[in-house]
Amino acid sequence: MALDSDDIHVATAERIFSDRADLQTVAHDRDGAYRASLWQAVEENGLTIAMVPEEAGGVGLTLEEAFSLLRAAGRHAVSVPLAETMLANWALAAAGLEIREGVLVPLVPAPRGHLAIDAEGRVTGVCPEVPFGREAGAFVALCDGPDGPVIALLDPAACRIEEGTALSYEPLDWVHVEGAPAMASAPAGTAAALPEMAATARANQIAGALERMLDATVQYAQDRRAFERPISKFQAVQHLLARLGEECAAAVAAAGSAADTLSRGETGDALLLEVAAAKVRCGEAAEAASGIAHQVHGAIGITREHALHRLTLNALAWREDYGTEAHWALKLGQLVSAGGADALWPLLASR
Amino acid sequence: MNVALRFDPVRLPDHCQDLRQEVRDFLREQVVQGVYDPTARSHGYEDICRFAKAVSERGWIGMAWPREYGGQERSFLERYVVSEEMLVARAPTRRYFVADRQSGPTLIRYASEPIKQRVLPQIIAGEAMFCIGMSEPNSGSDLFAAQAKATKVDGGWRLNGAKIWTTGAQHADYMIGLFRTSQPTRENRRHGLTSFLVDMHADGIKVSPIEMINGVMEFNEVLFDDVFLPDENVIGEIDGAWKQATSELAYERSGPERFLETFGAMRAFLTAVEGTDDTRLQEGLGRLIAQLHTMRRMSVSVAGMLEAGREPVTEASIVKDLGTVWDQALPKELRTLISLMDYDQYDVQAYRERMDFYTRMAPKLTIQGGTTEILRGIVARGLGLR
Ligand SMILES: Cc1cc2nc3c(=O)[nH]c(=O)nc-3n(C[C@H](O)[C@H](O)[C@H](O)COP(=O)(O)OP(=O)(O)OC[C@H]3O[C@@H](n4cnc5c(N)ncnc54)[C@H](O)[C@@H]3O)c2cc1C
Repeated sequence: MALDSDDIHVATAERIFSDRADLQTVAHDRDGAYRASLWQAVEENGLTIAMVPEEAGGVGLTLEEAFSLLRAAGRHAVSVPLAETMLANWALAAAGLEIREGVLVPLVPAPRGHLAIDAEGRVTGVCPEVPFGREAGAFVALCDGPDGPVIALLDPAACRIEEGTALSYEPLDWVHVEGAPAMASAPAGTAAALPEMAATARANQIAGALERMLDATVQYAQDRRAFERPISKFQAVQHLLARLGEECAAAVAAAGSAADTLSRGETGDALLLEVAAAKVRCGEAAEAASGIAHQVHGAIGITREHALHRLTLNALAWREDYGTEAHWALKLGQLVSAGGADALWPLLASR
Repeated sequence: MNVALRFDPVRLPDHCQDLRQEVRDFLREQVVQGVYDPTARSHGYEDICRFAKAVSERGWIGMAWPREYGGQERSFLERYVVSEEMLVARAPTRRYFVADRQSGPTLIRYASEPIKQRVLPQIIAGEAMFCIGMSEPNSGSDLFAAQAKATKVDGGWRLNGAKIWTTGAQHADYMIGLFRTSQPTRENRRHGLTSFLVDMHADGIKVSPIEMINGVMEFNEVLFDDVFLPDENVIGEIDGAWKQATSELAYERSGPERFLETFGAMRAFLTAVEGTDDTRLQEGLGRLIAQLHTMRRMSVSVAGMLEAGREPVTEASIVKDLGTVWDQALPKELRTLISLMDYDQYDVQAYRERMDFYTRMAPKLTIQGGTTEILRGIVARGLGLR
């Protein structure tokens, strides 16, 4: 794969994904047998602690590198809680807590849930639609504390997990917490940016899925023949593919720019602009690109047998996580409308 | 991956942001001094001349060009910053914009030495306005159908025929025009066109302005009746203009003018809704800003590729297609949102007047400089489909 081949970590990850979770294998798999071996390889190679600085026991990639690793995971529609565990370990380290082995799942309750921690370290509230909730060895929750945001480590056994399913058939569970004692907790510090980190992670996964969708759809159009020629020779199909390419490009650009912003440690309005733009634009791109990819594939693309749905359904499902397009658009719109006509351009031009 | 579309998160270096401040201060001063009115729909010839002189004095025309022709060899990213600040401030850049963006770079690359020595300093001085003579009544998207003719005569060439939709021709000093010098060959229908530097003040040229649906006189018909040009005005290879066209497109297509033409509509909207707490408006606005920001980041990324000496033709076409489609839809999107506001909450008449201006202008955005369909064809080629 040409992209990011300069980055050895991404190349390693890419190899693991294609060896252990090749798209076609996964599409045929009914009982998730491949997952255990994929997870083992992911953990053994340190991908789950990629975002954690070396001093805190991690691999110490820059956030930009770590997000491009997640873009690679998106290209393979990786269906183990890799992004989740990476984010959770990042949050633990950022709050000065010990990182952990095993599957970790972050609880980012905003915008539609809420978690609070009291002075005794008891956590109460609900976190709706938690990807891979049921698989967590521990939860890493962003809670409102008496003196500001707190990162709390929770034992899933002390929570009530209501199972649900995402559009992509991955687990999407509600986590109810009623006074569960935190196993560890600390003021969030820089980990208060967990919502921005998580949204940027999803944006990058979507961008990766779109890159692969583009590749697969262009290839399919060149192979598939109708009316005695490859369908790629029809101008209508070419224009659909051009639009798919454009949406893919927009997603890559938006997700990459947000990753770069977090990597530089920027905060405030600039960070909100970048993250909101990435989540909104990648969500929109996921929708447009999936539609085109399916249209160009014809009937074969809507079979369970064909791997396309791994990319399209995951990209669409990722729109829902850590704030939808509407959620982030509203936050960004509130910022811009409060600033007035003269503040918009300086904000855009500061990037 | 077979298809690699790269849009790296290029950041403008710090010195660009200092330059940005200089440009802003300069523009504020120009407005205060009454050199131009940022709310005017269009600007008169005297205004654009005065403004070009002032910009030239700051060294911002041809700023990235070689020193031997009067340029300053500043970076393409610096030029980008100057250009976007001018656009957002609705500055009257018409007198030098085309020359600075594409005609000058074309001359630097392909023109004869005497022409470069003479004309480039004129551009840099803000004294040479350019227009682009490609389209004809029977040749638009299909450039290679051009029929306006250049016939070889002693010491030069004679031009005959018509160009149309030529932006700025009524005031231009020069045109870079495409003329037929031979018939196409069976193997290559692109063969036979040659690029010329035309002196617009020469005898035999007749320019007639054409009014657009928004009331602006922007483009023209240009008739050539036995217009003489000396040999040194040939730009590049005789019969081989098609080889020269593609590299310029990346400059022409990826700039901020491809998504900021209706920025004035966004400003008018923000003024009208300032302080609103209607979440529907805020959400709609947020989406538009997310899209706008993404396009600008893509455009800056292409500027970075150009600065690095690459020829990102596909990426530039992507920016232009996404940008112009977005820009065109902006008045429509804003209309949907403002319909949610009560009439006593903003100056309805003033707002409508501005928005109507942009709605009338919107259709041209996806036609000028290569239509949507042509751009998608180029992107498809970049994807290996053609
Ligand atoms: C405001 C404005 C300023 C302009 N300024 C200049 C200028 O300064 N200099 C200059 O030379 N020209 C200028 N133009 C002309 C512009 O470049 C042409 O209008 C444009 O290239 C399209 O050509 P056309 O108008 O002849 O339309 P056509 O080429 O006739 O196209 C008509 C329709 O057919 C479609 N079409 C054509 N070919 C194909 C194809 N192969 N596949 C699919 N669809 C196709 C087009 O996309 C379009 O929708 C300007 C135009 C405008 C609107």
